[in-house]
Amino acid sequence: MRFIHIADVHLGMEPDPGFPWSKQRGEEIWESFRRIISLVQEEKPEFLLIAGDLFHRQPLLRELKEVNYLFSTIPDTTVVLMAGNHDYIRKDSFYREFSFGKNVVGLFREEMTRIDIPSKKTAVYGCSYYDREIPEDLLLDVRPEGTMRYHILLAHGGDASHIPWSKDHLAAKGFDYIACGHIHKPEILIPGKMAYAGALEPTDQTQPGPHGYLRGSIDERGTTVEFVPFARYEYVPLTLKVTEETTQYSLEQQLSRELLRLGSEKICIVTLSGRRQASLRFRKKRLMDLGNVIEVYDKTRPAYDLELLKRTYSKSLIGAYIERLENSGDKTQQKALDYGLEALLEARKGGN
Amino acid sequence: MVWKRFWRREKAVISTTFDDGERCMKIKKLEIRNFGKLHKKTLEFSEGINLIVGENESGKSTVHTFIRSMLFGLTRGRGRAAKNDSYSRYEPWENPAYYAGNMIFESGGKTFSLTRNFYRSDPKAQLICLEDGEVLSVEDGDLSMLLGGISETVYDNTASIGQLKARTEEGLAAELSNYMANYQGSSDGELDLSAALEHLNRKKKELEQQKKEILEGQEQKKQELSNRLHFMEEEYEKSRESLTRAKEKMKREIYGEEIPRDRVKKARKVSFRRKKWIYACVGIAVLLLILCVMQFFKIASIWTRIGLGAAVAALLYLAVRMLRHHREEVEPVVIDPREQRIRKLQWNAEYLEEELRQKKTELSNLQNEYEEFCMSLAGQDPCEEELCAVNLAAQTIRELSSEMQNRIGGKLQNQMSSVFAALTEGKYTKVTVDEKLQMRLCTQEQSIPLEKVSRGAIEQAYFALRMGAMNVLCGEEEIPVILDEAFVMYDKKRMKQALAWLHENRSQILVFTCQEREEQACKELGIPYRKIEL
Repeated sequence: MRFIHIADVHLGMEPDPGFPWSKQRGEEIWESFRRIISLVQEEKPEFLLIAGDLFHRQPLLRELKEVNYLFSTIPDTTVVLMAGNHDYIRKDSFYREFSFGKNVVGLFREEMTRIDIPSKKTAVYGCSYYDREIPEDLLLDVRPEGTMRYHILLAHGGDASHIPWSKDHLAAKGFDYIACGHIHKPEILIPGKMAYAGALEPTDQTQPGPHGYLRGSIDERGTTVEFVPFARYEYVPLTLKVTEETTQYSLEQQLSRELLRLGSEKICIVTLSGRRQASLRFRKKRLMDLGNVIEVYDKTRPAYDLELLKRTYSKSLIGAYIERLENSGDKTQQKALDYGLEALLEARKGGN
Repeated sequence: MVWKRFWRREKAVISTTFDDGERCMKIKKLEIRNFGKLHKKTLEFSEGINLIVGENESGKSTVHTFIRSMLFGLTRGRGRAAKNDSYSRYEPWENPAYYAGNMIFESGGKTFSLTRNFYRSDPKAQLICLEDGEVLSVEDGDLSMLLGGISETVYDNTASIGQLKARTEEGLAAELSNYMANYQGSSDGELDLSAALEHLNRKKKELEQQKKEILEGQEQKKQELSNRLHFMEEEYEKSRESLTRAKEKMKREIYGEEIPRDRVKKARKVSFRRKKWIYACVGIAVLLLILCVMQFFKIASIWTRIGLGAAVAALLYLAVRMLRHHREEVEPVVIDPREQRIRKLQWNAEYLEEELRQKKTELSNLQNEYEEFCMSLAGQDPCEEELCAVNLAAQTIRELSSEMQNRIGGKLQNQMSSVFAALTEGKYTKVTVDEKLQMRLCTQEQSIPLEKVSRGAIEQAYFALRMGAMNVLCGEEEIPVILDEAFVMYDKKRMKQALAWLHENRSQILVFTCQEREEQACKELGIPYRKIEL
């Protein structure tokens, strides 16, 4: 029995608001979901498991129709669906009265429910969110039961305010597979037992690395599951090493080359490191305008040799200043050291 | 390694203190191998006054810089890209990798040889005690220890004296006042503290500007979202209104004044017609029953036959009418334009209702987005850390400066006053600095603001400040005093006073000059000196 497990698709979201690629990314989220459906058409697995947050917010009727149409194109695959904390079933939710196609199994009850699919000898378990948060562990008492051969649990949450479960406790219950959603970083929690599919497309810069879906199968030897990169976009941390010779322009060129190498579907989180020429400050804005750069963290420090400066200026204010602020793990103090030293050295007549 | 260093230091301290009470460092010989424009130049110095005489451009300041570089090295810790540093100014024109020299000096009764190569890619320094051949380590601070911990800045501020730069007398007074103020606030006369604080202030303003721009950007985004929200609200309202209108219209269509009466009449007619048929059927059935009974009792008459014929005719009529009526009844429902309109209106209302619900959901989604955006703004304060850092920097500088002021300010004034009194042979007794950092020179009778005294007196005050600072900062340790054209603006009398004071109070003095005046003065004073021609 084969399945494809996705989660946190967040249809309707436009990530990175305010950035020029935001709209395009919103389109790509729908597109990736359509690509998943085509993939299912080709591979024809028994199940497509969607572990919550298919929509970013309350789904519109036309969006449900669109999704239902897509499901109707994969009649041989059973789609298992549930509502997560983002598309939770509000009292006016369209989820309530929408009738999905025959191949869609909705775990839309507030309490834990088991639904048997005799044609596939499988029982699926799960429940939906009726509020933004569920602070209690609803999965405490669920366990596989009934006459079906395979037992699959869909679970959305795992942090303190979204069904705070214990993964070891869950894994010990004897489900053949536990398909998790909510955490956007893909992660196999327990090999062959329990995994987060992660967001199909990453939704913000805190989710670097490849995203995609999980492909799995269950047979008499047990369950195997593997991560398959599938997302169009990826957040890439990029560290640029700065030296004393680096200028604003040379840094821009360096970054442009990197961006060209990475291509237009990578969104960079740039960190500048190293020792810069003391009086130079890099202009973030210009760097961000070079391409898909969502953030620039400037962690460069001026190329001061503190020991030598301390020796040169000992018994004078500059020496005392360095002694007062160096050797502190505090970030503000370290920045104050750099700012103050720049001002003091600049203010010495003759500049040296 | 650590214990070895420690041991070496101890040993060095012992050897310096074993001297005959006088802790001073004297330069015996310089060997400039390749430095700036000088190659293979050897200079030897004696105790007391040394006059290094040379024309302009003969390399006096090169020798001066060479001494400093030998003592403290050439890199100053500001990074290689720092401009105008001495390194590039004195980089040899030929063979820059050989950028080197040697200095023989005496300290604590022992003679040391210090050899350096300044070449940037591979700087080297070697320090050897010539008495016992012990190799000392410059990196580990042995040289610094022999210099009594005097740093390059302290050296620049005390032992090495040039001229004041200002050309006018007012400028000169202001420069000296600043110098003194800086000195008292930072032990570094070259450091303009107010400029440093001003620099930080500018940085702060820059950051505040940046912060403002970021906040404005966020506000704009918020406004855009809010506009979208308002637009959506309007759409929702419109949609609701059109639904209400559609429903009213439908009601009117169904229950409106003219049409209902018509419809009611028609309905009554229909039901009456239906009932009429039922009566007719019952009537015919009763007639047939009576005829059958009459037949049963064999009452045969003409009436019976007529009655039977009538009943059959009535049945036929009924059948035809019912067939026709049935056809009539189905057709009007489909064709009736009113009914059709009602149905259309109904569909329209249903469509609008669904549309309204979607809009409501869209609206609430947008409201969520707006709320989330506002929440995300609440937690952050852009540039906060940077602003904190700049404030901390300024605050720390102020604190340290006032600490230094308290520690050395008074001492410096006392030392400066005593040197100044000696230089002026008691004419002036004291130097004071008021709250506005204005320096005043005091005689027995009066105190004169610095700007009111002659240029010569200002120069003397400057010299007194340097020498006073040397007493305060260098403590017990004494290093050679280097005067680089310091007496150019002195009259002969003052120059003699200064030279006499130096002869009395300092062990080794190097006077760089392009004139014969200093030599003349020494001769007249009867002070021994060594003359070195460049």
